[in-house]
Amino acid sequence: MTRLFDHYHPQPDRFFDEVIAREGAPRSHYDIMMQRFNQFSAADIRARRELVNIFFRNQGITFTVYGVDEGIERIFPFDLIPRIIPASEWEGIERGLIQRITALNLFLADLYQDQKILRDKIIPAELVLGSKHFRREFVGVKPPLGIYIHVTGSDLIRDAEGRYLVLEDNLRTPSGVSYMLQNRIAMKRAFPVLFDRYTVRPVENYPQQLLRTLQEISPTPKHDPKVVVLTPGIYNSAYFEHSFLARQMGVQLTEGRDLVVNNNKVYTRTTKGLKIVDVIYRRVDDEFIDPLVFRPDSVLGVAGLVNAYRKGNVTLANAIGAGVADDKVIYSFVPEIIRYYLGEEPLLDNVETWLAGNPKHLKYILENLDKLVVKAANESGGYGMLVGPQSTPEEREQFAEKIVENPRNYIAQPTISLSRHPSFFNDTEIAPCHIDLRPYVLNGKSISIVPGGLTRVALKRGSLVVNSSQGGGSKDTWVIDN
Amino acid sequence: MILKVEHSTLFEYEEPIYETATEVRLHPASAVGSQQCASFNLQITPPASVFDYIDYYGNRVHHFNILQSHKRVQIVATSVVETDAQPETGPFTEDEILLLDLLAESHYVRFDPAIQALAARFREIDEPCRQATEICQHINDSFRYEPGVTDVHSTSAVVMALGRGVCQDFAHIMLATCRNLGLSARYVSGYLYGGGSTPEGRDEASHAWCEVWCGAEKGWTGFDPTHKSLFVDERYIKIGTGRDYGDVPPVRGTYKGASSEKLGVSVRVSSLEHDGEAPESRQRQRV
Repeated sequence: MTRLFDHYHPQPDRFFDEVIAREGAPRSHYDIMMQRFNQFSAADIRARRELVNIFFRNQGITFTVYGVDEGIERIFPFDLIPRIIPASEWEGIERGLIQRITALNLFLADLYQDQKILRDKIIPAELVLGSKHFRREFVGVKPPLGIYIHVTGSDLIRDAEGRYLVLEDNLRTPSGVSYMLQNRIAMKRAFPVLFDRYTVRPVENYPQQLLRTLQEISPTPKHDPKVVVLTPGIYNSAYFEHSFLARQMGVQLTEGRDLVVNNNKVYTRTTKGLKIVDVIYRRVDDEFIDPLVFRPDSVLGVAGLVNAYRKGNVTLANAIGAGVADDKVIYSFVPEIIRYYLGEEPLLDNVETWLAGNPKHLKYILENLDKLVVKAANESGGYGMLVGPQSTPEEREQFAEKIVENPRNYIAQPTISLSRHPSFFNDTEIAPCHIDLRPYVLNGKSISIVPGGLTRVALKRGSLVVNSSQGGGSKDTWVIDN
Repeated sequence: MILKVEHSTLFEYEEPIYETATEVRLHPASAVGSQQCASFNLQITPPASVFDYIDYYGNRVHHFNILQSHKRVQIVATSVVETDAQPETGPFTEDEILLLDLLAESHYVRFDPAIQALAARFREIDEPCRQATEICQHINDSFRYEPGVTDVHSTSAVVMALGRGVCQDFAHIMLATCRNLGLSARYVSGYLYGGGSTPEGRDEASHAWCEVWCGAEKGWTGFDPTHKSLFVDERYIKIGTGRDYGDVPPVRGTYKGASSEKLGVSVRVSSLEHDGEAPESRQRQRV
């Protein structure tokens, strides 16, 4: 019988392979996993695949793809082979993320109070003032505990040497944590024996930790502060996640129309009348959250919410205006931000970044479009980007025009050969596929990171784009004790 | 001068509406330059609790909400302001980040090719105050004052193409031209006291103009491209400033309910220095 890994060719000289080391032997933490998968017959795999599919379908785990006309709701593709991260490696990631989130939070507190970092010319002020997500409306508002970013999901990748790098920070409404939780359940059901052979750190208590974090930021200390989840509604790509998290935390899932502000206090409408709300875990973007202050045509928000926040009667997670710190232009300054506020060297490096707004960089970008990945500064989810090596000359020409028209809005990075991991292309064959990692960080009275996070995998052959909106899937991610 | 402002805004609805939320920027600026606000009163009907805060640009914002259904909302702001004919003397300082903020494009202030071409005509002038004066003069000469051709959403690019508009539009043109030349400039929302001073001889009590940063010696200097006098004097009452109209709308609000809205605004500015014989200016403001 052919074994599954017999035909696995990782090309370790070109890419960092998570499972097979450069010399061709498996990394020790993957030994058991490989042995186990090598024992499976094609029928074994099919049976487990079927089990997982039924589970996901029954759970109704879907996401919505924007910009296509038909069948926009999809099941998030799940890959059966787990990603394994040894504890020693994970601790490095954890320390790096705690450092990074601490610095980014200090940065936001500064931008929305004294703007010292701008006065000291560490970051050109016009970059912040020109950021689409810098909210003048929020300057001077002091959120409880001084925390602006309560829930974050930074995207990490590994370069050819296996170094972890931060690709981007998602400080607004990062999604995907529900997939992480569901992937774990699916994996435990389909591979109970394999799962038991490892000591995998649990992720299951994430919703309770999230709830505790939200309770900690209540504007007034209360025994049982009222927390709600605010969703844009069923047409949002992450609606499943919003309802899932609300259910897991045992709190009310609300839409804008379910809430009302009266005399600077926020209430939810219940059958027993209005009930005061202390903390809102909002998954509605700033622009839509309060038609009195932001887009007046928004029906997703609550009129008067920002003023209630300003008065200290309600807390939003994340704070208004946190997006200025995950602007991709500001991203390139994060190492400086860490040095400025913490006086430390960054533990996790950034990906090298060129700013189209800098004339010298712009020239370089335009001359090397075929080699670079170009991204719009304020987009997320893989929208508005050009992957140079996979683009046509026409696409590059069109993109160059857009860049020249609005240079502030674009950055470029080298095409990083993301690390690869064996993944199923179909029911029987595996191949090396590019992956990234989105750990979820909670920031309340202290910072906690759920072990692992969501590993996203580019399941299209050769593709480097792991976003679910662009055909990516995901894997269960195991942090194991050494 | 001691000036009294009565500014009434009335919203009327055919069908009842509910959950009104409103923010107003109607409080005259106090202790800025040569202006002091002696008193301010805000009356809301139906009655509502009024709250206030200071926004990013230092303007005082009042806000209130009305939950229960209603068919009309009236907001009456009454203030007494003392203005001084003598401008303040320098040297002046200003926050460097604010000055940068007031150099960039904003929602209403666009650097379209027409503005760039206009700005280029003044590039050679090397003194900021003279540069601003020339720009102000040019706009006053070549743009036609005509209500009704633009609306509250018109950007400087639209007004450039039309060549006509009202005070808000002229202010945006001047801001775009100045900023394109590297002069920090801000929009001013306020009132103007005085009989028959618009180009057509009408009063325009509710008014908008600009201020240009003319360096430490002269500080913020007011320019009014709508009126031939060009410079801002003691007849001008300032409410607040921002990048453009969008930062200082006098009244902004939302409501729930399906009904058409009818808006009526009246502004009256009178002098209190003539023992009740106050010459008045009165006008229904365009919205």
